[in-house]
Amino acid sequence: MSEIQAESQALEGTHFLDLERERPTRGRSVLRRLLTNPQGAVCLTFLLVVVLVGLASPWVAPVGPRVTNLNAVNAPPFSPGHLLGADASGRDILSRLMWGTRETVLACVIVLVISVALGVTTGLVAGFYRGRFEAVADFVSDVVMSLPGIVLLIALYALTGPNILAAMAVFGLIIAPSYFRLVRSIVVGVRNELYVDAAKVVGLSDARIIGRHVLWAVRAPVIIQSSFVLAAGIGIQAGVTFLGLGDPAKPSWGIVLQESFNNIYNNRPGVLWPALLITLTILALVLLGNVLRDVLQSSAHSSTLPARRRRELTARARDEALPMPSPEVVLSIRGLRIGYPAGDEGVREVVKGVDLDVRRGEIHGLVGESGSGKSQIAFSTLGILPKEALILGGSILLNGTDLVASKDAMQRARGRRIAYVPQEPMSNLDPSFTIGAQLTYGLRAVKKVSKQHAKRDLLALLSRVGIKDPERVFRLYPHEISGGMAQRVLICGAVAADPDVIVADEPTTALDVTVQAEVLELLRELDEERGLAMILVTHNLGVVADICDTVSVMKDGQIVERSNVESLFESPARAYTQDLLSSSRRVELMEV
Amino acid sequence: MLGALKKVVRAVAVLLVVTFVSFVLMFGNGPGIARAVLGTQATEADVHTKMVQLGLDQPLLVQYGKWLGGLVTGDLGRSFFSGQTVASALATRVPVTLALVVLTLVLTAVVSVLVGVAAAVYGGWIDRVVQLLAVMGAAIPGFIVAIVLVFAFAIAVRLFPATGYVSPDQSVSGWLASITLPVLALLVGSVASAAAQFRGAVLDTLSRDFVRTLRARGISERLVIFRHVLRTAGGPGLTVLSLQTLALLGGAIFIEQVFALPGLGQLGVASAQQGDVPIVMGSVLVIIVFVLVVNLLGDLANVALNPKARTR
Amino acid sequence: MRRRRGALAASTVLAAVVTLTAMSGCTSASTPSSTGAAGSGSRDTLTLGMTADVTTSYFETPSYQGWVADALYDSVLQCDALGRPQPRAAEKWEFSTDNTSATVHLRSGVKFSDGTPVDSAAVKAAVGYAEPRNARFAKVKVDTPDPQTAVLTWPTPQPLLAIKLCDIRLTTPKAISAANFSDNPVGSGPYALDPQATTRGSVYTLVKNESYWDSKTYPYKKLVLKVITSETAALNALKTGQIDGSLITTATYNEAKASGLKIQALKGNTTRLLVTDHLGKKIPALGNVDVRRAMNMVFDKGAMAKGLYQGHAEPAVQIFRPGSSAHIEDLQDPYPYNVEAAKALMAKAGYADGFNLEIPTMEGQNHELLLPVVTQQLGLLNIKVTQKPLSGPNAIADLLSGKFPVPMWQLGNYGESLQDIQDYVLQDGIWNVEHQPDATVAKLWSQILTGNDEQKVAAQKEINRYVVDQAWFVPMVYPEGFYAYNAKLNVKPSSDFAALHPLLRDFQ
Repeated sequence: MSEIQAESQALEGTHFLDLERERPTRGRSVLRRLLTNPQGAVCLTFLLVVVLVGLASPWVAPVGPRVTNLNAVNAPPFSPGHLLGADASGRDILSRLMWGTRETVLACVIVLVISVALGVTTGLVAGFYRGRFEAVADFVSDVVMSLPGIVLLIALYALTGPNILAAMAVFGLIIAPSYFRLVRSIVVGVRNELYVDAAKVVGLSDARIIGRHVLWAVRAPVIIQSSFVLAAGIGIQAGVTFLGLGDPAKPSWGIVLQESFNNIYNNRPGVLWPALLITLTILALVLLGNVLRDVLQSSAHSSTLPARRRRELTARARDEALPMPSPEVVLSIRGLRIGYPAGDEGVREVVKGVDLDVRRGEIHGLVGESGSGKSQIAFSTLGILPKEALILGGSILLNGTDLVASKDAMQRARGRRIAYVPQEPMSNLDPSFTIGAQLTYGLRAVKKVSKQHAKRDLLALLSRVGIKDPERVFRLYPHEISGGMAQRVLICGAVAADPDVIVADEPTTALDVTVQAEVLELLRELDEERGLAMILVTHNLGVVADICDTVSVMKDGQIVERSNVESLFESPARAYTQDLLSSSRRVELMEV
Repeated sequence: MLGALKKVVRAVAVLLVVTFVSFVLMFGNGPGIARAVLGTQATEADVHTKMVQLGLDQPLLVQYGKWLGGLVTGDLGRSFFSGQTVASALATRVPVTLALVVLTLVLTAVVSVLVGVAAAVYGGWIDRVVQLLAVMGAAIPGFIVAIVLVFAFAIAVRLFPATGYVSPDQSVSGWLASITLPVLALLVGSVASAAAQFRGAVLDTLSRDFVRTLRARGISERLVIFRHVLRTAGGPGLTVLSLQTLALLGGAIFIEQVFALPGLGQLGVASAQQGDVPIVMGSVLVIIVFVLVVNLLGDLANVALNPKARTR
Repeated sequence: MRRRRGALAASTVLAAVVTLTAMSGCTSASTPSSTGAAGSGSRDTLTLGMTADVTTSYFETPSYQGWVADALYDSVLQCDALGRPQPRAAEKWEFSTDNTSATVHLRSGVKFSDGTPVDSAAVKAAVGYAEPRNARFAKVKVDTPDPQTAVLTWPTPQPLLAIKLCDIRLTTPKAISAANFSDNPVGSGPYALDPQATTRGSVYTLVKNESYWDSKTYPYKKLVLKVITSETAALNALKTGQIDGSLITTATYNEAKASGLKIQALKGNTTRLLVTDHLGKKIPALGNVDVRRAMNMVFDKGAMAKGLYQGHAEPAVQIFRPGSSAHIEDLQDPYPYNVEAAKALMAKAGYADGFNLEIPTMEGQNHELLLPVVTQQLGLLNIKVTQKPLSGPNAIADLLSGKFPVPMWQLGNYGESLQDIQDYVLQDGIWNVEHQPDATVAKLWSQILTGNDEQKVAAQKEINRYVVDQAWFVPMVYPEGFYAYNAKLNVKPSSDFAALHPLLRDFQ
């Protein structure tokens, strides 16, 4: 594999934030975990066998690498004395491969040592001190990475001749930038951490800080990257010797491959062995790298349950039949239970049986601390829960139709009958399309109207939600408008299809205080105008006080108190609610 | 506008640095080069005369300057051995390598987008299979894939000639036949790597808020993926492709050796072994230029896809 | 792939490296000359593969796979397979009795492709170009008494006068003084270059020159030469009819045969070690004849021929080609394969502990096949062989510089064994890299220079006996070279003096 692939292999799957987020390896040691992982164990064993057998060639190989037997020329595999056959000069292929392992190991060590030494140190220094050094190192690293390494090695050959060790040293230089970038980005992230500041305050020298603390933070990614770099090193060494730019006197995997290939008509199986050895070794290193990544650096991949289990768990939800609510209730949630996979095939419930009714024109506040499950309920009504989520029981009735029981019903209702107003306005707009385009797509997805008709309606609506120059905004991209405007756009999008229910998930949390009031006012107006039923999820009791009619208080996945707004604030029934109220008042006072 | 200018300046800087380093490496041994050209009977005086004739006696910086100057007029010097102009030597080789790389790139783009999206969207066993194949495909060196292919078609199944090159002006069908296996050999590794990265880009995009909001609008999943997600993942996708070009150029050198294609890589290797320095220098130049052009194009396309990049 | 720079007979390449720079003289044949009639059975196109590209200028191409130069340029004379002169640009010639000078009489009315007449001035220019560059023409003088006559005079007697004249290619004096041979070759040969259809390193297209004096020997109207350095690719091209002929090796021999291609076997090489330090100046042990003999005795030539060369080789006891003057018929191998006896010889010479030996190797010379055996067998005598791969600009210079007293090569043997003697045995022989003097050889050589034909042959055989007895070489096998071609083609046995491959005129 090329050095580019080595670098991308290391970065792929490691979303940039994950680099800093290491799960501490408590409990079992890293080595133990590596060995109990079947893939890791197999790879490690294979590599150890190859390396040890290779290093032990003087004692273990059938014959020396240059021993020829003229009677065994082109011997097929499994001939006596030649397990893998012999080449055109009568040399035993197995022995040559074993002896060649030493060359390969040496070459790889050189590549690794040079690239790590150079890349990691420059990365540490550049990330820590930044400034001009970083700029220069960046440029150099860009230049080095902008050429295929093999081209430089060929140019080098014109100078040094067949000196594979020099070539590998140069390859180490070529690959050092991959370490540089990796280490630099981690150090940049880490240098602002508190423990670094603390170390500085205590008076530790920079070298000490870098050497102990910062270096500690990069060890896992460097180890993972090294596995891929070794794989690339083997590939390049085999490749360079295969091209004929190596020392023909020394046995190496690439030379054996080249000779077998030239001799392919006279000894067909001969090609197989070196090709297999090279391929399997590289594969083992790459797979080992993947396992190391999993073991050292579990990223935020949540586990998913096998499909069978999912069906088991969710079957119950669909089969339940529950009583119908009264007709002016637009949205009715009964006994809703939502869970997520945890551990081995287990499930953790985050919503533990919730009942909720929303009537026409009612603004129903859903209050609670973060983690109480309120957003989960909001998502579930729209059917936009994350893929891993499971609806374990209950129903969501929209004008009598159970949306949980029927995916089609949920699909039809989404966007048309139930609409969503999200929390963070900027990240909820598609950055690649204009405002107008997005709004139009959204509207035309649920209503059969022509483009012009849609545009007309949307422009009017944009104006209604308080956007001054709707025509201009229509043509703008999301990054060109402010947060407040974006939220209005989102509200416009939600309301455009004329839904019955609006589910607003913390719609004002991400906005400036002044804009908050306007948006809330807007929501109330729309609600009155159109007779919408609204669920307003929020942790801010001030918002509740402002526009909600009814409130449900959630704690740990259950509704602990439900009443209308006045009653709640005047005489909260439950202790928890009282705590909430008192703490929020303090906060409000502070905010003033 | 300024951003584009900065990029061009940077590209030129890279070009200068790399060519200078290569130049120094290769033209450093003036006497040795002259001696190789003259042959065995050369005396010291002969060597010196030849050096003067080839301009090798001047300081390296001056030589480099002359070479750069020649670059502008399209004169890359002449082969030390055959006297043929470097430009004409390259002219016949470049289309072969170019065709190989471009074809592979196009096919890579198509296949890896489909595969990467499928893996990201459907998940499950499709995803696992794709990931496994990606690892294997990226791990196996390109020349080994090439050897396996030659083995299969030269020995096992004699479908069509395993190695050798037919130029398109001779016979289009012959050209296609001669280029199929090389492209295939390059494609395996290329698709494996690109599909995995593309899958990552799509997964990243899928986890973003606006995708959820688009779904909440009622837009069908198919449209969400093919219209919106692909558009946003396209930026990183293009970066993946331009990185792949780099890998493809390196891989093409091996492929040309195995399949005996008269391309740039084969020219470079042969002239490096011979010591025909101007030709190696010319090959290096062409490769760098190609890489830089591809990067520039990728950047430009990125700007087209990503509105945010335009205002910078 | 190994044959990338292809050279089964690298010696000829290298000997020709020396030769190549000479040979000017283009006789353009635009004016109507003798042969106006179309050749017998003119055919359309002959497409041949070359395993090595023309890396030099067209004019300076070595004769190994030098079909392009052969087609473009005429030489003063041409030599047959045994090195005997035949008319070419010159119709008649005489050699002085003391073999120091040759007088050649050029055909009249022949012109180069640019209209310049092919005359003695061209010959003089060509020789003048070769003189400083080619040891074979050192200090030669050329007189031009009239436009059709040139007299070449060497300072010392030259037994290989005829062969030297075959090496002189002719082009215009103007081209020589400009020393720019590449872009537009001006020649008087049987073909002219078609620049539109030619791309260097890839394909060379030549169009028949109808006014060539011997155009009937070249029946093909068009000649296309494709560069295919990979042997497998060449074989594929042969199988699919993309080319009509190419050199191949034992690696693809069986496959070629199985595909129904015809194969011409050529015997023009001897695989050997050249132990040039017979005075022991660089490596004292080599000064002892017992050591050199012992080195001869550790090689099982029969097994090498059978194993390494798949039976396509004959064990060799002497370096000279069977059939040539110096070759001794039915010579018994004075050094039969006997490792124990060899060890005893080494002990007797006082070198039981052996010595170190550095053998230079180069890409494309089959060293990969031979060196493992050589290293192993010499190792039995405690001679520790290390390989020194040569590459880059200095490779050839280093090889022939004397730095390595014992090169190993599959070197050419010639139909005219005088050439072998001159290149390998004489003190100033190009391959006698240590250039050490030897009284016996010098004496015998002067006999060759001055004696009559009988004495010449006797002296050559004497030299052969001497070098065999003194073990100046370790000959191993006569490997066969192979030229595979389309069964529909009519290819005469090669008339190449160096027996490397069929020459253009052999393709009928």
